Amino acid sequence: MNKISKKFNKIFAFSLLFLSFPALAMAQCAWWDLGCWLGWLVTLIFRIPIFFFALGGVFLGVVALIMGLIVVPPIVNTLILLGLNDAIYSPFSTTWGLVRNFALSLVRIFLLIVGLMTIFRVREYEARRTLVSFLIGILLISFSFSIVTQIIRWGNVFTNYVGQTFFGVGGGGEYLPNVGNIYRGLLNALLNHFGKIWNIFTIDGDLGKFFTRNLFIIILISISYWIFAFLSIYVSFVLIALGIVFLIRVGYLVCLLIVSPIAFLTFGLRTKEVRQIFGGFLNWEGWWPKFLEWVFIGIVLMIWLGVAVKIFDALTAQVAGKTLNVDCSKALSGQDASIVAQCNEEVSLIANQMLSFIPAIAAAIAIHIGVTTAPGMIKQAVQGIIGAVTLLATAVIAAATAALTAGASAAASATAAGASRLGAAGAFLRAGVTEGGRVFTGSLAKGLPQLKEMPEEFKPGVEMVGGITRRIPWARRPLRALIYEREDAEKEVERTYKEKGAKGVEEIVKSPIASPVLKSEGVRKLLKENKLSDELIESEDFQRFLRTKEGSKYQKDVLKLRVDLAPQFINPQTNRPFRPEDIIKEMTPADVIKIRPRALIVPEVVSAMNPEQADTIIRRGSVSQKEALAKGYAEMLRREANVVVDTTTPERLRNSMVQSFPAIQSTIDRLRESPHPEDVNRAETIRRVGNRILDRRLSWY
Amino acid sequence: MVLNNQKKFLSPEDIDVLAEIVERYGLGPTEFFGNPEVERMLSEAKTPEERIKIIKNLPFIKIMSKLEEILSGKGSLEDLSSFLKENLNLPLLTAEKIAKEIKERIFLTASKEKEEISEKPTTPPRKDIYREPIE
Repeated sequence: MNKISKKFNKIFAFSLLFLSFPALAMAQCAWWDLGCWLGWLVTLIFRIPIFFFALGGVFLGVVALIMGLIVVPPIVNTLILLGLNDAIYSPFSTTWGLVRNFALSLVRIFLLIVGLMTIFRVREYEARRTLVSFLIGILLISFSFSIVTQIIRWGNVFTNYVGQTFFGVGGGGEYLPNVGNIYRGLLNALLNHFGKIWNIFTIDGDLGKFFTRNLFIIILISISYWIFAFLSIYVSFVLIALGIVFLIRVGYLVCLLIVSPIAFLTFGLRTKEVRQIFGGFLNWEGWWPKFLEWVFIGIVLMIWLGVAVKIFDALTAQVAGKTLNVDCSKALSGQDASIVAQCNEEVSLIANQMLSFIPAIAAAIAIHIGVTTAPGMIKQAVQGIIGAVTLLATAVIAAATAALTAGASAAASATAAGASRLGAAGAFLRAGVTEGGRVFTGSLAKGLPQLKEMPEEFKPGVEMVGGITRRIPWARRPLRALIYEREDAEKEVERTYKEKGAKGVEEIVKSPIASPVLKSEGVRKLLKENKLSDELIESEDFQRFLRTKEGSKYQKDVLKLRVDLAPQFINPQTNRPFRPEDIIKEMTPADVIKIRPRALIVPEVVSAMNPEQADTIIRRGSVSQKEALAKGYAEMLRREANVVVDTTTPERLRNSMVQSFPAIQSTIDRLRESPHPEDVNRAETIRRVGNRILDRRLSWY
Repeated sequence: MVLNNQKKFLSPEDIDVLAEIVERYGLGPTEFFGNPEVERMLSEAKTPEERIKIIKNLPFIKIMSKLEEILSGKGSLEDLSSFLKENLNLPLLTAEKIAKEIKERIFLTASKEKEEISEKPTTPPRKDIYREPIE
């Protein structure tokens, strides 16, 4: 921490000295005006960092615009063309052949097992029906390459058809709108605007004016460069993300094509054993939805790309030739005409560049929506990239806000001291430099180690913002993105819980900008208070958080509340989705009593419970838990015993169970004889809960 | 005798007590699924409605229905022994013994709760900080 701080201070002091002498020439002071010279020298402490900040913006802006102009469009076009090329899949027929042979050899082994089992009467497999399944399986395995590649071809043809026929996109291999003109215009505007960077040094050195108005203007100049940079970075990232989705589509489809024989094998032989052996994508139930999703994702993206092109064309025509004239005179009434003119010039420039960039941004937003509809990990990756850009933008704007606050505080101190330009130069120096410098450099040195996960360039600005968060309530929410210390996160969560209760903490957990550490602390608090709502647990964003490194710490605790959601998460020990029994077997009676009714209503959860756990709910559960358990049990009976019971009231449930008593009893007997321990456990659960319903221990009033 | 007026229905623990009493006096089955006796009785039934009737006529269920009536205010606890005698064909002495036990163990839980509260440890006596312990 100290090393970084010392290094930074050295660089800062060196820059101050190095730039002071040549910059003196830029000071607009008469040689006899000592006060002006002194004031100018004092304000250098602000001018130099702002100059470097602006220089960084210019550099990033030029690089981003050149990338957007020259590199991005051809790369994206190539990636989309590659993604929609059918010929890519043919070379993988050899690898597919190996998997096919493996799948066929498995069929032979299964045939052998079925034959032996039937001969020795170990288990009845209903030979005729099983043979038909085997035959279907073998045919599908053998033709899986042709079937799969044909479906991919249809997907590609349909994607191009939708693009070309409905939106005029993709003709002649050109998928993107002509963004070149916009980038070129922006680049010219940025380079012309570069001359304004020297205004940072030439602007009036009058201390009073500097801290009340001029500081604002030079910050505006520096921010304008960053705005150029971020707008073009956002558009470029979105376009590249679109291309990457098509590229990853190829990767996914190749993998799914290669393993298709195994997926078709599990389709033909829908036995529990086969499903157990091949989980995830290898299983038909996992493979087929994933395959369809990726084959036809191109159509969805093409529709959004088409919409983006149409928006781009329409808005380009709308904004062509239009200019915006900004009038700062009302906001700065009673100020020097030169300050108002400067403000008009800067704000107009930003507004007009925004105007010319509107078509590209609108088109990018349309593509952004399309790309984030991509399945699973792509959506997460794209959101991550765009989230990082948003975070950087927040940091830059926040840093500028902090600098403004520092300036304003200094000015306020000076006014309070009644300092005049010359007479109170010493007092002003103390007030201005102490107050402004305290915010600017003091907190910078103090907080550097806390910013482990931020890019180096933004750490100073971000840390300054951290220092002022307590003083600016409205700044708290966006700055939640910057809380990376667990202790700070814990304090923020506690404060929110005190002020707004569980709902407030839920907002933190749901917030797209809150840092992972802060979200993690939020989840911990809600779990501790037993106030994690079902709506939050069911939300896609929360489940995505639970799959992250920080969120996975709470995955099991959350799944203990909602066992029904277990299959949506991967068990790190088996690398397959969790089964309800994986979670339930680890549950203590105290955990069981917390299972949510929405989980208990699911038959897989009831059937995974052991009789003692069901008894815990019956004896110590809430009314809604008991009702849910009865309903889950009824659904379990429908599946296991093919018995439909009425769960509208406890009495009706009892009567309908007595009516179907023989069917339920024979199911219990059948399951008890099974060699599988899970079946025996299920039999005991059906028996125990059934008895508790009939003897009225399981009632809900 | 102080009755627990708060009670509106039988809790699983009350039913545990009742099942234990029914079993001890040999009044019939208290479990249904997996019980050969109940299985045999129900297999003789010709219609689903007949099965409901058989279950409702089991002594365990009959007593439970009567107790629920009493809790809902439709019946009197004083009539319990005569109910047991008439409906379960029990000798008067046995019926009275069972009724007494049910009253004490199911209906008088309020006084029991009082006892439980009184069993809680009281505040320990304050230490005299000015006097050193004699060793």
